[in-house]
Amino acid sequence: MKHLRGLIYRNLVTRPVRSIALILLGAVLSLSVFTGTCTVQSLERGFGSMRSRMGADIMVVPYAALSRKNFDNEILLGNADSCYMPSENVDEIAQMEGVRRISAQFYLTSTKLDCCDTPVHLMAYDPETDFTVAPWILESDGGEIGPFDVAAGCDIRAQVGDTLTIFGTPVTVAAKLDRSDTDYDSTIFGDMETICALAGASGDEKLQSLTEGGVDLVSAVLVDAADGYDMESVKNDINIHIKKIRAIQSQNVLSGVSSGMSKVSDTAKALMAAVWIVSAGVMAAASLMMTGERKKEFAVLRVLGASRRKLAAIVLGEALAVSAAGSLAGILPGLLAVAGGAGWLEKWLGLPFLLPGAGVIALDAALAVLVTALTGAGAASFAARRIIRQDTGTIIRSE
Amino acid sequence: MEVIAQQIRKEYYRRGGSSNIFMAVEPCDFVIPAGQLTLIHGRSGSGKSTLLNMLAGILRPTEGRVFYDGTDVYRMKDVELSAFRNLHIGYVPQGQSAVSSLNVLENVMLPYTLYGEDGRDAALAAMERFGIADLCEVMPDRLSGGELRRMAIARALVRNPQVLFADEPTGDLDDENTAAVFGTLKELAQEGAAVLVVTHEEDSFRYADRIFDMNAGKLG
Ligand SMILES: Nc1ncnc2c1ncn2[C@@H]1O[C@H](COP(=O)(O)OP(=O)(O)OP(=O)(O)O)[C@@H](O)[C@H]1O
Ligand SMILES: [Mg+2]
Repeated sequence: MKHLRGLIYRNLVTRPVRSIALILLGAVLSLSVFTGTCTVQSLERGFGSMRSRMGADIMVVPYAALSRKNFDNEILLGNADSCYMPSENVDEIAQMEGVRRISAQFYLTSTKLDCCDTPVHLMAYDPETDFTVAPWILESDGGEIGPFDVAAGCDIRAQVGDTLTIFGTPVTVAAKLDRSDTDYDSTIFGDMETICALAGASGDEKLQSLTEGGVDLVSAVLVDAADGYDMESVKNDINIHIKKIRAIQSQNVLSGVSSGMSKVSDTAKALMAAVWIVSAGVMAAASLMMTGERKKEFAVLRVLGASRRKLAAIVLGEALAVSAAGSLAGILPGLLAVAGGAGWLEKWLGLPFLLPGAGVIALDAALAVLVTALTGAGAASFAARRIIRQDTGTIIRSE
Repeated sequence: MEVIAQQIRKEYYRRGGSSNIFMAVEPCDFVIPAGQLTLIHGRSGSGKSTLLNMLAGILRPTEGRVFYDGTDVYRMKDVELSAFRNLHIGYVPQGQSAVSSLNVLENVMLPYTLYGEDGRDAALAAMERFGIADLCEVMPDRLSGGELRRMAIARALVRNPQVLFADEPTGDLDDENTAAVFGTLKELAQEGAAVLVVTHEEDSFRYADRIFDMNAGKLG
């Protein structure tokens, strides 16, 4: 033992119960800071991705689609396979006042394919009018989508350039879309002709009947309001003038998700704050108790030549050692919880949940370690201040 | 090294009496000459430890100054004074003073450890001198009072300080050990150190070069 470090180490190992308790406390703190931060970030990312995938001011869907529940996430796919509206509605909407641009989308059944673990949605969009899918393809660095090309959601097991066989017909994957954490992740996008051709060749009567002679059914119409027009009144106009459909403002869909999200992330933040306050309090109390018990020892160190700075270094060093050890101990279970719990949490919360990338998670872990270690040292600073102010000359005389 | 105190006194705030101010040590001049064993003797509560601590640079006098070879210790910066104390001042505290998490050897090495130095050999030699060399690995809570005291003395002497303070160093030692301790302190003085010992044992008078009596804060 040649250094103060050795003294710090010996002080910790001769009080194993106390040290282990403090390490566990540090682990709990770093675990909660880490998982809490990841949760909040995932919710924000999920929401951001959902918002950018909505991409339109107003969404018009068949009235029947709305009577279904699971409104939020699945509205994006308009309850895929069973609710359609006639394509005349598209022209009617296009002609309404205050409509800047529209694009129709057609969702064809959810079907089980080898390339995906969950049922795959097939979605036809109109490249001529589209303003939501193309930007996404662009963001994902995808190429041009021509006839018999498709863009694949990220859960589809295929890479750009691969050939997928859908209902017996081969198509080429021309783009692989970034994760959105919506049902779009298990969707294959193609233009109207491609999707119709797939359905026509499927041999399935129901599918064939839907697409016979070109599509004249529509699952959803995406609408952007013209400048100077209030989205709300455009939406109301559509609802008043066109029958059996329902126009929804994207914001309203999002605001439901958004308020759910902020509730959850506020709760997560409050929990983190509570854990932080309790841990900081316990750590401060523990170090005050420790220095209280060891007053005479610190006075002895002082008469042997320890400066005030060295005494503070011992007190802070002990606290830093346990909180740093604890913070590292908390990160591994934290990583497991984040990796294993994300899917479960998403289901349980019913909110879009998109884990950040490995780099950001590593930063979160580093942040949690830093917060915990600093909390430990900060909490011990009260004890350190008390010990350097203590009157050596008085204390050294006591038994 | 010589220690000179000029008109030092210590007042404590203490409730009671007429003024709430309690004079633990009345103003006095004091010298600890190098090469001599100086002894302060007095009743319990008479202010011996207070005076010793003021001289040792760990208790700031209410008024007055303390010089080590001309340097006013209470004007030194804490870091400087601490390093000075570490190198030149040995101090045997009254009562128990073991660091409980360290074994005997590590306790004796502490003055070196505090400054990142290796004091193993010096510590072993000091322990040898006081007959506790075989207790190296033992933890302090297993030691007798006398062994603990010898450990504290070995620790105070491990750096061969030029000034040594000992507050009741033989309080819980038997006659044989008391003689050994005073013999060593005397030796140290003869080697040139300034030694100040506080005691209430009159047996030890024969080792002293100078003896002072303390009574209710007054040095006689
Ligand atoms: N911090 C303090 N506050 C108030 N009074 C104090 C303080 N420290 C010491 N005293 C008082 O000063 C007086 C001298 O104390 P000191 O410890 O110097 O006595 P002592 O001669 O060393 O006694 P002993 O032989 O029992 O060790 C005592 O009456 C003590 O109660
Ligand atoms: Mg005393």
